[in-house]
Amino acid sequence: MRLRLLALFAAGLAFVMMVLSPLAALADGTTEPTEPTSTTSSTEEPADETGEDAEPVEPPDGPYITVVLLDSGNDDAPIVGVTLTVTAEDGTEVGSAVTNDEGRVIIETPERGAYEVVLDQDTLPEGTELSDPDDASITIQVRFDGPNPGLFPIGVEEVVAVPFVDRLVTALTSGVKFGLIVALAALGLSLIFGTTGLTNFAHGELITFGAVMTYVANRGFGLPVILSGVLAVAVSALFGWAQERGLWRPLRRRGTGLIAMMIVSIGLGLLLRNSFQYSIGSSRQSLSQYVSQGRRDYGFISLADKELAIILIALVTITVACVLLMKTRLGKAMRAVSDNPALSASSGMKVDSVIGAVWILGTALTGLAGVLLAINSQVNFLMGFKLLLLVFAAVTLGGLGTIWGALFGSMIIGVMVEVGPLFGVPSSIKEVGALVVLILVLLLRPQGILGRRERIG
Amino acid sequence: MSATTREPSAAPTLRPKRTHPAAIASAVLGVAGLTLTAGIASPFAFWKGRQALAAIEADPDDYEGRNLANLGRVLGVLGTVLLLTWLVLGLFTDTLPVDIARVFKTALNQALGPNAIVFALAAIGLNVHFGYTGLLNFGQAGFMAVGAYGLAVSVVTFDISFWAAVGISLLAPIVLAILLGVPTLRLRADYLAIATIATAEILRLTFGSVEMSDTLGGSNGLTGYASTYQQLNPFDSRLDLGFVAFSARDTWSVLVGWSMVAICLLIVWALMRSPWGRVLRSIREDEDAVRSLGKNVFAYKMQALVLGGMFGGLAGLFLALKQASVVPTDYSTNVTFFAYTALLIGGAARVFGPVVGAMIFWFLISGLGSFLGQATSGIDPLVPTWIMDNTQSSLVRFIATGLGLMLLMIFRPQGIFGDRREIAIDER
Repeated sequence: MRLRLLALFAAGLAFVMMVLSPLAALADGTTEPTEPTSTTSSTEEPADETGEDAEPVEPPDGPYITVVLLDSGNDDAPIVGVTLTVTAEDGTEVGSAVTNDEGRVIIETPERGAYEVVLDQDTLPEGTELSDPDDASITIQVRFDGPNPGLFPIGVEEVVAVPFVDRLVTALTSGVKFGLIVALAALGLSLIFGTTGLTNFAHGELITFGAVMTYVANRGFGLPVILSGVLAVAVSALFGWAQERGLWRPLRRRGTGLIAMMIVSIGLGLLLRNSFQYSIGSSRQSLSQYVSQGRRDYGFISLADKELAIILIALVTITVACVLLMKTRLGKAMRAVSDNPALSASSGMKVDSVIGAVWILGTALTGLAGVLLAINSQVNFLMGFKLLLLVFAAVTLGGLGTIWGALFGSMIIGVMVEVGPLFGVPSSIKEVGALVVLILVLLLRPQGILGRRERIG
Repeated sequence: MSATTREPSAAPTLRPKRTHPAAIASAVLGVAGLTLTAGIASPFAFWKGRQALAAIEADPDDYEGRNLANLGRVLGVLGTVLLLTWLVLGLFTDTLPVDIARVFKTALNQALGPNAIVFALAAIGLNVHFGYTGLLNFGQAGFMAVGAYGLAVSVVTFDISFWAAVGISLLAPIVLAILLGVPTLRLRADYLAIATIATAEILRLTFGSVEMSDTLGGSNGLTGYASTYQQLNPFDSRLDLGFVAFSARDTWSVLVGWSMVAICLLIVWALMRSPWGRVLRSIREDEDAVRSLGKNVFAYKMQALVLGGMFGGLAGLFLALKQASVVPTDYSTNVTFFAYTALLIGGAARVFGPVVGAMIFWFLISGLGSFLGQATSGIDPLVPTWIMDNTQSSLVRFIATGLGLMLLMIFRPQGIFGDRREIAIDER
């Protein structure tokens, strides 16, 4: 009888798509004017602080390029008022800025990759010249969240050199943050896989769903980011419940095989991914608050407030989820169904409602991962799909279907991805390391580090 | 798990009624017809609705869902009227800003053109993997990538002669298949799926990496290796048959490509009726039974992986030749998913399944793309821009593909020609 929900589900999706598209158009209109201002404001702020330290006072969050122009012919005096322009690989201009009292510019970059920095020679002060006036541009590989120093091979030279330990600490911190976000999604995947056996290729889209819902509530309805995030988690949970009731449960009742369900999830992923692109477009969108924040020093590490919040929220949520699973009746039921559904059913459990609860919990956790990711960087229709294989890698590494395994694997994957570039992994493909680990784990210990032998078949 | 879903309290004579599957299919097709597919799905919705009603009428104790079937029928009629209206208006008058003849020509061109050939070759490979052997290879894009890059890197970076490079490009997928097969073929199906999809992503990311752009071309890819192929082109003018038209270059590619498809089909047909093919099919049905007969299942699976991988590599090689450039984005995971869709449309475990599937897939995809593209462009578009603008119109076909893949897998996993008993989709 519930099979008819399947039809309603499809109709509902089509409807949501129709409703979302004008909303997105509305949101598009509001984002555009705010974009260029962020780059200029962040460069002006350090200008009033006369530098005692080599580190800028208010560095933006996320990756940025910093260049310090010093006149080597004049006792390393800073050169003020020179315009530098950063261009992305595909030729689009990222931003430009003028050197401040320290001779420093900071230009935010939207993502990591290769950027070209061009120095406008007309703005050089009288008497200062480049050592090679024909070549006023350099290419910088942006590899880290945080400073990416550039060196101009000119009469003016660059001085920023971050010591290795500092870079390691920065990379470790962002690795832990990334690992915790992956852990939320991995926990969701692991719960759903454990109870239903479904390898859900649409799981990445559940992450994106959380992010897109935050974006819609924030930009479309003008709610504050925190409230939008809470709403998005709630809507994600609802979406998970609707998916289970409208699609997966009817399929289980029909006796559809697991491989068929896997292919269905691929179709669903394709459908959702393109619907997201349909509604929010293919460019990266940012939320209205907490876009760029300065970092505070906490002794060893320096964190932006939002990064600290992300780490705390993720830690608390994961702890609460684990306590729920370990201590409560429902948690016990979930673990029982995950261990042996037939036996649970014959001992009187309502397997279907336990699975329903798992879907709600799992998609809420996954949606939260998307919300945190959206606050951390930006919203994009592909963000979850890009993360999907890392989540798979984390879950496989830890052991499919085990809770602790998912957490453990995620932390390893997160730290590995972020720290890898320090040890020679090409940074544009740093995810490759995690995927290679995935294949190696399958080769050496297919049940994962904490998994049990019987799961691999 | 199915044992748990039955209602234990119900007496055997009063089995719970269930909704007839065709009724749901009819309703879904009806909705899709009016929204995503511009009426194309609607006649099928009507047909399915009638089927469902007849089945419910014949067996009212077991089935329900009459309302749903009626809904599908009504939506189907509405959609069919819509379809006929725009067909008539578009073909015989100028009132519609959409040129229907052009839509059909574009669709037919794509269905017979080089793109369909690429997907046909990739899907033939997947047919060997998934259709005949039951291996869930989600990394066909990776096999295509090594085929394409095998040629391009050899010629451009290492300056090897064209024909030797073609040889390398044919060998590369074999090496990949062996490297991939050794660790993963002993694993369960879903592990194989994850491992292959990860391998394909590793390859794509590596081919596109900034650090290795001197050798592999980075995100801009490689060009300038296909001159020998182009010089062999005997056609020097455009081919126009009225219903299809190809440029001189495409005509050459179409000729080469369909010949390659024909040879591959011949190989698959010959192999699958041989004892070797029968072993593959029995592995798909019951691996342990085959093992108990003394067959080396691992070796057979490996041979199937290599063979299907070679067809995938051939698809990549052909793609590299026909567009004279290799770009990493052409080998994304979506390509694998679309190849699966093509295979499942035609029917897995059938020799002609992948080819027919690829043609139908491209016909529908490009027809829908062309129709909606025209309907959303111009000063006064047919579809108002607040519903859909020109960029969005290019996404509808992929949304429809996703929905289509889901529906296909749920309601007709055997595709058009397949046999339901021959599809390896059950749990193992």
